[in-house]
Amino acid sequence: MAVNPVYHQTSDILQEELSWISSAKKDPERFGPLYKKYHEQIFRYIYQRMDDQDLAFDVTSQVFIKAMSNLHKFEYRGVPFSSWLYRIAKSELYQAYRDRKARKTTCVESMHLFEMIEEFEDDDSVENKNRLLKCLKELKASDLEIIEMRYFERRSYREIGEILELTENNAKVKAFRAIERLKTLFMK
Amino acid sequence: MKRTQTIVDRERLGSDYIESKQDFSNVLSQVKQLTTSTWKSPWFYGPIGIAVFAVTISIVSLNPTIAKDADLESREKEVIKPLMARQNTVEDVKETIEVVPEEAKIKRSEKKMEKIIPTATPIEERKEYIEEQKVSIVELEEVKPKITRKIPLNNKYPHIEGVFTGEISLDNLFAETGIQLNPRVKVTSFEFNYFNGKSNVVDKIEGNTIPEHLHSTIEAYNVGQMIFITNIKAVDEMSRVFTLPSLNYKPLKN
Repeated sequence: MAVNPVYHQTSDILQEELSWISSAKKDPERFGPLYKKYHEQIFRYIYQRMDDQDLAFDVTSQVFIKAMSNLHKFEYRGVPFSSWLYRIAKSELYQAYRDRKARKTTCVESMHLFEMIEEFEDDDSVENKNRLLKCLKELKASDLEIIEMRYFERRSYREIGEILELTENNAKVKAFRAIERLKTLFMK
Repeated sequence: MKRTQTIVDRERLGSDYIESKQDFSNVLSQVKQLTTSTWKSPWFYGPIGIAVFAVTISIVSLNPTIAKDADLESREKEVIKPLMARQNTVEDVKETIEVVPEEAKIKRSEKKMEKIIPTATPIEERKEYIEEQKVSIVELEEVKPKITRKIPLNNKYPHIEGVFTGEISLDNLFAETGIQLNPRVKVTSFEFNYFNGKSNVVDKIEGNTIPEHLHSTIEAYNVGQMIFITNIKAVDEMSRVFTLPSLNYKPLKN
């Protein structure tokens, strides 16, 4: 399975990012390059889980406001700055579900569903697709979250681990178990 | 709990469209609104406020002049307030009178003198010297008034010999000092209400003392009875004339 390459960055890029962060800590106006770099990623992460586009843009802005306000607390740990932003985004997303009555959403592409069905060694028919959708709804939220990241957003296990605050291996194990549970539901 | 809705094949938004929605200046302005300056935050005022308070307290307590002034002020209040509030009763005035026994003064002076005389001086000479000093101290004591009265400088109520109202000895009533207020104000005239054996009379008197010729009348007919000093006119340093509150006394034989 092809993995989204956006997350993977060379050490040079990480160092450049670090210099942006340290200058943004001194002057918030220097946060511009970081905003430009990560705005789309964070928006897509939020919009993937929300049905209202305007609200998704609004929540994205909130994520960056929070990030800039708390930038002095950020500590570089050798991972992209986006992992920190994703954690803020997750928190803001849950707040939007609570306070702004935003509807929890899972966006899937048929292509991704058929790939999963193939993995389950079944026919990629429309009937099976609908069955799989029904099974996805029956999954636990934590399982759905990790499947969504891995199979629909094409994130690496390392990235999933950093967003969910897990080790890469743990993320791998959790994703495997989640897909096994989905398979069990699907095969019933 | 709300169920998660699933959207299949939602139209994917283009990167250009998302980029067009970027508004960093808006985010920045909201961050600036959220960020409060250090000097505006309560965290700043907490330690700073305590420090300023502590410094002020230490300056006040370490500076002897300020502390002295504050002490004097508080003492002044202690003396004046009861006088004003209780309409200057005799008891209040008594509190301000300080009587120092003459014997005690002489004894204290003797002790001081002994310290001054060199120990090498012969005993006879020392005794003579002490006697001389005793005499001079006694003379000095006689010159000074026997009773020291403490009337506040800004006293606003008239009195005779420190007696503001109620019982007063005939000696005090006819004292040369007469009706007084404070050093800045001088009593110029008053009306004296008394019983002359036949009826109540009102004498208009110039000055601040009750004339001595009334002594016998007061002693004969007014001892234990109320006499009134009314319409007391006074003049201050700026030559302003005003009327003072009346005085009521009950004369007593000495």
